[in-house]
Amino acid sequence: MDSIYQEVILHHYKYPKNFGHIHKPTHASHKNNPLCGDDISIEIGAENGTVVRVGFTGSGCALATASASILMEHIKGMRLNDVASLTSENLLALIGVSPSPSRLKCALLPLEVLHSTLSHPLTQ
Amino acid sequence: MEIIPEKIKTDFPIFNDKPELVYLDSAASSLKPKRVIDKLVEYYTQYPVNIHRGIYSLSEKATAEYEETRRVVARFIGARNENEIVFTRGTTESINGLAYVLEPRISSKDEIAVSILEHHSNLLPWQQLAARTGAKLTLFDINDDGILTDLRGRKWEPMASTKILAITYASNVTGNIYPVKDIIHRARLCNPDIVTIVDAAQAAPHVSLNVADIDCDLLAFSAHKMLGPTGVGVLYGKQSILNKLPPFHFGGEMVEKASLYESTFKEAPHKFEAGTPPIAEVIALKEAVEYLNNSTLKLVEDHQQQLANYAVTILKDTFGRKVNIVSETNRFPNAGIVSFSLEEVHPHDAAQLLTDHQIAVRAGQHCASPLHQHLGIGATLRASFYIYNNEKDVDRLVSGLSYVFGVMR
Repeated sequence: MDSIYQEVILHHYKYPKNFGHIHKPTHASHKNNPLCGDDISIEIGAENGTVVRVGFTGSGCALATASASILMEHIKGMRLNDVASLTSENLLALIGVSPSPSRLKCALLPLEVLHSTLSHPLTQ
Repeated sequence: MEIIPEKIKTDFPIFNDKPELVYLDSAASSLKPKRVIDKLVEYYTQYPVNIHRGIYSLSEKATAEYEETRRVVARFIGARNENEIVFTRGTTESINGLAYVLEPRISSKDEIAVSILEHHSNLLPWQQLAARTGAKLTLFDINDDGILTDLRGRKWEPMASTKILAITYASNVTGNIYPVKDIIHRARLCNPDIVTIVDAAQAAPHVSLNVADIDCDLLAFSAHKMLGPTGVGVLYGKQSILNKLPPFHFGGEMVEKASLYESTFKEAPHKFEAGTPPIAEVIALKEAVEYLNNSTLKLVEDHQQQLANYAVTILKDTFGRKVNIVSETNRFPNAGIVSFSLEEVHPHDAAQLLTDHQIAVRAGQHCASPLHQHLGIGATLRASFYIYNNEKDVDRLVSGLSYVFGVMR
């Protein structure tokens, strides 16, 4: 089997964690990759600078979906500052696979959305 | 006579290297036969010099090969003579060049009409021309009877203000080969002065082109989709229109008399070939054309149609509703292209998993996003066939897709 379709990726794809909208989001953003149809929205609920609720919605390939699911799990409880400094390398290490150059953008789309989320606080 | 893919495969060195390869992405770029590759090597080893310049024998040899290709291509597409053949870097450059040199003819009161079926290279240059001139960009569709309609399906016809009609000969998504001859004939009844431009990038590998019969003003295609090298394309233009259009690039080769403040230019087609052209690639294109002539394109058309029919039938029979086929193979002749999506499996995942089985397909929107939006579909998988493909390749695709459904279930 191709190395990126490991159990952990397929599991997060079939049973994504934190999928859906959250109560009282404080930050939200959305991005898509129009050429392949990957489309991810992320909502964060932060209290005192810490992420306490996360949720993502949208649709994408297994890699984009699993990456979003894993990323959401990871940032729960993190300080917003630390979330802002997450890098592509951090995310790839988290998901534990090395996508080919043509699939990198699928894996990294959730991180792009997440960074955009931080710069889009919602007015309450 | 018939196409025997098993025999044809032996002409393509890639299959020596990768005998298990199931290459189903010829609509993006075809594989190259040894004959074409050998010709590139011949140029670089035997007469690797510039053309139209040297009066030594090596340059004369290179020039003769280059100009012979122009004659061979002219015969291949039914042009009246070789002066109607311009070598460019590809379809995209040909159409962009036209969009620039046609600009002085377009005002804000005019209309540029483009079909919804275009891939980006025959849409974006016209979008840009419309933006530069303030002209109206009108998108039209082609219905099942080959009649032009607006995007709601109502009959649409060019008007006196419609200066340009740009249309693809074959869709790179559905595989439909359109009746461009009839469409151009009817457009001219509405506006005799309309400039008609045919994008034949997807048709040239499959259809026996006859530009005199189609009666288009201009037509473009690329070598690399029809067994030839990358980096070279053909722009055909009626001599009357090529003579009137200004050059789109300026520099060496295309100049007749240069002085410090003004210059004069050669006649068409040379005025459109500024700078050193892709000499090796042009020369090797001749081999691709002769290879296709030997296979006879009529047989290629039948072969492509049969493979597309077979693929559609077996995909439906095997997977039923789990596969949604975008291409129709019954209304228009098909250029060996079958696009489809899978129930609950993203095309990227499917394409990547198929590579485990040495199956190469395309996933995405195939450089035709507006058509996908119009059809209301997301990304798709595309299997596209050529003369080296056989039913066994289609069977391998089907078993590959069973594997995909198994992994992603």
